[in-house]
Amino acid sequence: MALIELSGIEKVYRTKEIETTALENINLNVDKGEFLSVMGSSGCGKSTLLNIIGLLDKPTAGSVRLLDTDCNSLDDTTMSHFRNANLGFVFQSFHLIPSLSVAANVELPLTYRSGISSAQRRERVDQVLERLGMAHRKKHLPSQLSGGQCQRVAIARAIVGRPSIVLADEPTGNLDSRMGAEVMDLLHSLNREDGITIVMVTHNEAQAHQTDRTVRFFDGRIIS
Amino acid sequence: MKTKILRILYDMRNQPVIAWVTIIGTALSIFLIMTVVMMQQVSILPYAPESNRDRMLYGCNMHTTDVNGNGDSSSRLSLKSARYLYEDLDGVEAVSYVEHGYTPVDAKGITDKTLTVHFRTTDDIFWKIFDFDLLAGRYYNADEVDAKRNLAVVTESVARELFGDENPVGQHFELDHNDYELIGVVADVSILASQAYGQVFGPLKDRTWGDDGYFGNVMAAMLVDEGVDFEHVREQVKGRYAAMDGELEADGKKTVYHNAPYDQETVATGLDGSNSTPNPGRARTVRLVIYIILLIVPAINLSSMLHSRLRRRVNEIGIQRAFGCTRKRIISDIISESLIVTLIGGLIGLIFAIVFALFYDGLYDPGARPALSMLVSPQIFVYAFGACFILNILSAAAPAWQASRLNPVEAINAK
Repeated sequence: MALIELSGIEKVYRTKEIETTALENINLNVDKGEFLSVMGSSGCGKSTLLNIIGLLDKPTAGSVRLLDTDCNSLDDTTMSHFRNANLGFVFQSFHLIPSLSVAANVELPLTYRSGISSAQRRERVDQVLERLGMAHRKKHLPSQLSGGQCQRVAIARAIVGRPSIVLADEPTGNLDSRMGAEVMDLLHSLNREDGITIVMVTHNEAQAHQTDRTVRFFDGRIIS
Repeated sequence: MKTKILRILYDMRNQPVIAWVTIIGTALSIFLIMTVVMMQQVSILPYAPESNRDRMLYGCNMHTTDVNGNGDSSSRLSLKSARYLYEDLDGVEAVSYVEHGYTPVDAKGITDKTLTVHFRTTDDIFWKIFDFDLLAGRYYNADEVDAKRNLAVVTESVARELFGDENPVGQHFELDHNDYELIGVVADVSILASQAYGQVFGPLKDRTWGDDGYFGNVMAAMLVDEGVDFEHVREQVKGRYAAMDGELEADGKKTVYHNAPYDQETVATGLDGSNSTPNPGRARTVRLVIYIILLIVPAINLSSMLHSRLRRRVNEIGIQRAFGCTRKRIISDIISESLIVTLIGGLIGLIFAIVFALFYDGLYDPGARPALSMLVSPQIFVYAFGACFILNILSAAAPAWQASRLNPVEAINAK
């Protein structure tokens, strides 16, 4: 069963002078529990695709269906709730909030969710940090962590809300090979053990080989 | 809340200049507003001996013309006209006839020191509608007022000046070249309680002027029953004016009614209806305009400060949006976080305003420094919170709205 269904997706950026096509006729299905990697040269539209799947950006044309929901028709508030309930994000630059502790960063998605008490939130955060081996750093600020630790915290934040889909944009791009491998192990274990569907943008051929499927982009189109 | 406080503390560490300028700017703004508010509130809020200001009405003046409306005459009331207009009104618990204002006169006691004191004559009801703190002796009674005896109730400070450490009650002293017996000592009264103020009080010595005896030196101070609408009292007084016209007609005169009697706010504004109808609404509008200016000018500056702070948090806002934060939540988070900063600044500003009012002589009438109890009231805190809230909305709404409209992708990728 396809959890992500993209059909006829186009994304065109228009300014007064110029029109740039970032995505052209993208048709892509990603099944439940699949680990998909997206490869391609810089500027070929990989991140734009990820943003459209993540409902952070809207396509110029085409339809986005996630978890059997037609996302094109959602208003901004409903889209926010949908993201909160079903999607998790991991970024190349971690994007942790510098003023908040590790625990508060991980807790962030849960604070936008109704019907969950602060005690339940704390319990969930503790569980996730324990699982990712970051419990001992929960009171630290991001500035006190290494790059690998920051990415672990970012992954913890991405999964704390128990999303069905995690979108990872070059999650190992800012890490050395050892830490990169650790993060990849983590993502694989989330995929295998929790059944989380993962779409990962990467430049790393070896990492792409470890995933279930790889799609390659060139100039805004899927070429294989 | 904890998250918001952490963010504020982080901002203070990482953008100390902007954070402190924001707090100091807010404090300065609230200081200015609260100074103006307190100057106004001191004349309206109840405190001893004017503890019933919200139930008080004052009849101060009368205005007459000839029957054709020419030849204006206006002055304070005589005792006769005050009684005619204000005695036995329905809904009025008590009415006191008091000399309007005070007269500076010389006083000399056993210390041989000659002082200039503020002397005021009143009837005996005066002591019932104003709650003076009687420290020693007693007040004069109705019989003593009728007999116009030379008895005096003096404030604690005056008693000390006249008699030093000796018990002053029962002692005689010279007041305006007459011999007076001191029968009571009350706690000092602030000059800001202008309707009850005096330093030496004696039985009413009313004076009358004008051929018809309607003008004099008296005002009527009324304590209205609880829950009674002031308009109910005014309607009756209006009828009394009409009745008085019947009597004045023989002399070719008539009264001009100016919506008397007046509440505390009206008399405190200096509007006592001598020959025009007071309009406290106009004074309120002027104050409102002052408050708006005092709020808008700093709000513009604070808004640009917040804008600068948020520019550094664009990334963070993008992340929040990605993880499901709605636009409404972004706005409410920024506004409530900003409110915490505004309240910190506001509290500092309020404390400065109170200290300034307590120690700076120039704000009020000469010698009229307010006591702390006059300045610190629930209303003052409500006003201060209200000013902070409005200042916060004015300064934070636009930056918060802008932040909520950020494109999440651009925000996440912002450098």
